Amino acid sequence: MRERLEEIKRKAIQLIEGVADPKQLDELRIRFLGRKGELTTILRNLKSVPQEERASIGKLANTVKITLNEALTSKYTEIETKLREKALHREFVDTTLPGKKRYIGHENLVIKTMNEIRDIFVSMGFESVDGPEVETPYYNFDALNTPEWHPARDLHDSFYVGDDLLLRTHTSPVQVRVMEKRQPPIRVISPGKAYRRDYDATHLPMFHQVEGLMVDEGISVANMKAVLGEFARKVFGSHNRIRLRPHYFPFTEPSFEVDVSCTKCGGKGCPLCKYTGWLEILGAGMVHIAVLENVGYDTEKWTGFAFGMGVERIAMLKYGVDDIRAFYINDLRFIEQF
Amino acid sequence: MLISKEWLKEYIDLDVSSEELGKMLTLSGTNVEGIFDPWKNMRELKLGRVILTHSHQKNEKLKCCEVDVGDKRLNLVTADLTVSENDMVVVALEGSRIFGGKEVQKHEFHGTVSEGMMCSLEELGIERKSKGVYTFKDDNATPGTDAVEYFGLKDTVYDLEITPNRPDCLSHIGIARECQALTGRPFFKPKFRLNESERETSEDVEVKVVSSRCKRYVARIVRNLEVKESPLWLKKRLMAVGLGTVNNIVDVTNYVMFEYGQPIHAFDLDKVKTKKILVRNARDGESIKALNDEEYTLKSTDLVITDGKKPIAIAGVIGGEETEIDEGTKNVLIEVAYFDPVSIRKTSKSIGLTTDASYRFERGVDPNAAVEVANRVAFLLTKLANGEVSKEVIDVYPEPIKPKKLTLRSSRCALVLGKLLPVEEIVNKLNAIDIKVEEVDGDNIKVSVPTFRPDIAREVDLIEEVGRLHGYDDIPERMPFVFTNSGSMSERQKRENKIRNIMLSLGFNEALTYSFTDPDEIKRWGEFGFRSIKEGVLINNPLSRDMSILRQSLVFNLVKSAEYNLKRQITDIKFFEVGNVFKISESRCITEREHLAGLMIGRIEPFDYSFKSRIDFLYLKGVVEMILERSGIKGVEFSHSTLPFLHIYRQSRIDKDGKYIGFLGQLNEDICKAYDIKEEVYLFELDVFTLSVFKEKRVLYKVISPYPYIRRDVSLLLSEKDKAREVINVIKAVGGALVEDIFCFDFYKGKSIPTGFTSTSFAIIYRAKDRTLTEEEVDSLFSETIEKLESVLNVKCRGV
Repeated sequence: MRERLEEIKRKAIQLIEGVADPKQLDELRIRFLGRKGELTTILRNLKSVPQEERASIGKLANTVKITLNEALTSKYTEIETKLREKALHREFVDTTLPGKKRYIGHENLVIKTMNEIRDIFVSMGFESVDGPEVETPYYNFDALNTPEWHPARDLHDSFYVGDDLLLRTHTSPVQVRVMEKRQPPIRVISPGKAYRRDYDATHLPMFHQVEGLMVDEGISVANMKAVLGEFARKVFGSHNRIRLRPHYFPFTEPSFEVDVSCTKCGGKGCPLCKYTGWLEILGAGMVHIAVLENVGYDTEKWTGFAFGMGVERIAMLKYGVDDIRAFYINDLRFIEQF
Repeated sequence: MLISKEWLKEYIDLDVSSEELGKMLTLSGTNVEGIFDPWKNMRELKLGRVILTHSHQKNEKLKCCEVDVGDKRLNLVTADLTVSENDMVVVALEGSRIFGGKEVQKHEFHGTVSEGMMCSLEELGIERKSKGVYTFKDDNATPGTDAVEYFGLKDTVYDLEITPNRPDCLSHIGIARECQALTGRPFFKPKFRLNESERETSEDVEVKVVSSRCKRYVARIVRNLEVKESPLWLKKRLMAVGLGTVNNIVDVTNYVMFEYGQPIHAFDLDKVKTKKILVRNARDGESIKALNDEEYTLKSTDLVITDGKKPIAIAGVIGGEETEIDEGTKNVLIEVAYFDPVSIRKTSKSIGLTTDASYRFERGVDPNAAVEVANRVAFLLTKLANGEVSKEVIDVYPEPIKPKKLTLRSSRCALVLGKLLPVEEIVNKLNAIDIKVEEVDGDNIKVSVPTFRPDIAREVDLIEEVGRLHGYDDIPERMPFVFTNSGSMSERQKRENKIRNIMLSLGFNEALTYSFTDPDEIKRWGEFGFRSIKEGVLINNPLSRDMSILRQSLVFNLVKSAEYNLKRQITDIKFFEVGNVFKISESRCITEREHLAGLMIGRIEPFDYSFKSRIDFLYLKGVVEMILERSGIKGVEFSHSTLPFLHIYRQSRIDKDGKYIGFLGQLNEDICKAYDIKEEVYLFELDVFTLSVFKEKRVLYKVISPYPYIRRDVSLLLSEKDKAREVINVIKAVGGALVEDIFCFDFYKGKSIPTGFTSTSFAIIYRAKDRTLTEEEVDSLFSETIEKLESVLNVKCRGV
């Protein structure tokens, strides 16, 4: 009996070792440990064993059963692991292949820049307003202290439409419309399209502007310098400095052109800034008294500043675009860069 | 405006470097756009003495000369036969550079080598056009001397941007005055003593002004003068500031104009046969042949100088040919005037001619400098043309223009600039630019503004002067302290932002095109909706025909942008643009409306190499539906339309509550051909402005059903006449609130499907909000639905 048990154990272990398929393992389990299995049969015949040996044989049989169970289980795990590995391997992916991308659109650089500029001023408490692109000469020129036959109109060559209307040459008319409707304090900006009858390597017949206006009690050049300085730092980086260069616009007095330290060389001098270290980015000034008078403000009480900038110019300086015409061609290889 | 530093030195002793001065000018409002030396790069030019000359053996039109250039003698060939022995000449040696930077080489003339070149004044940059070699006599000049040094061909010229408010800076004296304020060095106007003859001016001319557009007319007569070439110093001055040279008379008038900023006209007195000057308004249709050989027809708004009968000059703009100075001129009438700036500008614009004179008059010259300027011209003509100046000027100046009196409050100056400047500094700055401070009374600084500064009319104009001369670098940055509400964007801007974000996330790139378009484009596309040429806003003065009408639709320019990309091998394109379109009504009222348009060509997901689907009509429609859905617009109707530029079966109009809000469809073949586009192009355009009216104010939360759904599928045989929309309506009508969703998931044409039909499969999702639906309930609803579809719509159910 004892020998039979040892024999079964030896044979079973040997068979289990040789198995590679979980089905075969199940067969072996049935063959040895099943209800009609070899080991079960022996145990069932235990009562034919002499009384004195029965206990030790029984114990041995149990040990064999446990051993076989363990052998089966461990073989099972071994085979499962191998199979899973094989299956996983079939799912191999070269993770260095390019991904399958969803396409997300690209903002237009001009609009993106215009919104950036707008957001900076909105964060400083300015209200962003709109106005018509087809304007009357009154709002575009006369209300802004540029009467007919003023030489400054040379710089604002206009497209005329309909009966004595024009395409606005700047977005300042919007500000006049705002001032007509309410009293100071006023802080507004007007982003949008503007049109001038100019077409060459550096001028487009249509372009974008952001113009701003602040009117309040005691507003000075020093205030203007702070607001525009803050703007320049937010657009071009915290190291940027601004410089006011006296200039002339009919609607402001004093008037300035505002330079920022060169975005390329930082002020050391390079071909972009023509070795001056400065780049002109906007026009500004204290709102001309005549403009305030035109909208009926008390000019002793209220003072203010106004500014205006070409969005394309800012975008060119900020993103290094060297041809203004590129903005309106819509070459996808350009648009997709930003 | 070009300003010569050498010339400036006649009025002010400058002790700063050219760069430093340039910076000072820029920072005080006179922007320096460039600094250059007109004679830069000229080298190896030597004085030479002609030793021997003989004519060329093979060509009698050439002359061979042996010229001593100091260290050697050179054989030079010239076409100028007037060169004679003992003449001094300027020799450009081999390898030298003449004016303009051109290098001189040895050159062979019919077998004779010229070892350099004898220069003309043109080649030295002293005049525009020369007839021949420049020869001169100077016993003190030695051959071999550097010619650039000998002739003083060195200068610093500033290219200045003079703003329209500063006519005084259109002159060397004006800039010298600026330099006085900037450097602190004193400036002096030219000093000269005019010797007049005994002859009365009135003997030779009578002046009458009968137009209020002429505020002052000063006439001076110089007689018996000799018209000839100007001396070198004068030619050099004029060349440096970019003017040509004509003769001594014309050159002097130009010189004084660039000196004082006051235009001067010289008439040949003998050609003014009536001996009369009558300044009057032009008569409509009156014409004059001008110095530039053009004939101008005038209007009554123009001002003319006449001889009492006919115009002899267009006042302030250009002189007439008839009284032009020429080589035979003996006596001249010098006109120095002050004309109404607006009148001159109108004339200049109306005849389309801007001259140095009109440019200055329309900005405003100094009315009170007229006599001094006339005297200065006369003085120079005595020196350079040996003229005799008649006694006294004729000066018609009925209402003298007086200096303005203004008061500047130093407190106001501090308020505007944001910095308190001492009264003493303010006074000094004003005095430095010849604004006379007459009295200081506490806060009040009373000044008299000279008439050469027409731009200074108010207190703030004086503040500007003080500010720019003080400089803005030390004005502090001080954030304004204000009580106001928070910053904000307009509703339109918020809406536009939202739409842009939807479009970007749908994979569209943002295009930007001009608001102009080509009327031929509109014709090509056919008129549609309000997009007819009749309602187009024409530009009265377009740059070109293809930009002569304001766009009525955004799609034209989008298609052109697509065409550009397709021609460059870019074939997956999704563009959108948000912008205004324009129209004009019969009553000539122009309206602008904000539109959104999109264009799609190629693959749906170009960056996903396993996803090969291409854009088709239903994808386009899905995009539009998504835009509307995410914009909060519900209950939109799509119905078949007949736009002329779209595929006849693949287009739809979009309406909301009976209002047209846009279209979508595939561009038709003819138009694609016209643009040479082979791909399928899908377009849509929505009227954003109208859309915004329908937007739901706020989306309110709906309870989410916790119960499971039950799905039923049905395939229907639909002909072209049957519309999916009707099927969906029937399903909804039968299922009521229990129908949560209906969608299509399969289209099949082909085997076992009769021609003209499509098997379309619909899935219906049933779900209740308050309970779990039973299969029986759904089955009964579903079979009722199928019954209705078959009986009401008469469609065949292929299977469930």
